[in-house]
Amino acid sequence: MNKYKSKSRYRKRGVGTKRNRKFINSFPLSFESGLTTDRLTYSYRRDQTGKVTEVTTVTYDILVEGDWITIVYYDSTHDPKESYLHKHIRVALQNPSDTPTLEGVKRRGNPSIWLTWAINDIKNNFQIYKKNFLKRSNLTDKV
Amino acid sequence: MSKKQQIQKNIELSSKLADYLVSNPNIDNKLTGPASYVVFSSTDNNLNTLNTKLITSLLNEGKKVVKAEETTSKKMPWRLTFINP
Repeated sequence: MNKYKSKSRYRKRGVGTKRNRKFINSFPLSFESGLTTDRLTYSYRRDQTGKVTEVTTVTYDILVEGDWITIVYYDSTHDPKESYLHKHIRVALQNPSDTPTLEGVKRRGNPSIWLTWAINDIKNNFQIYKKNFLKRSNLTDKV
Repeated sequence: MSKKQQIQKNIELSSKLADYLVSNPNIDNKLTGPASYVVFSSTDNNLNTLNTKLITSLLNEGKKVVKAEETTSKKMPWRLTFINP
């Protein structure tokens, strides 16, 4: 066998390695006077088979005085042995600390199910999250 | 207490902590920068077990973590402990 023979033909795209590609998407949740004031952004990783391997982040942002502020976000832990989804809630506009929690968060399933669940949770409850955040921040709904 | 009631109570617990932090802004003065306040319930041991693991994950991510334990005291409803990495 020719030891100088190129091995490139043995390294087909994706074979022998798991490509872990990252995907990012965003869409508006509401409009006011033609402008988006609430948006959902999500990013995740998929392997070469299309399987979701990590929920990098699912965020709910609101527009406050021209700046986008993340008030709720989900991410999954980075431990491959025991991965699970958790939620972070920002305390207030004046206080960027957050309260990470597992309460009310889907625990069973896999990253694909968690991703869908987190997106739906924000789509269904963003108005409640926003109302509570604005109340703690002493802001009105029209910011 | 049913599971649904427990979940609802726990959701209120995070909000209760956030309200407390907003009412006491001097708490963050001891820390440099924002931190993650992890809630520990006075009644729900299951939640506490899960949140103990959550603290480990957050520390591994390099975040500043504060353990917030619910108390029965009205003067000090929360006991806050800064967790060293």
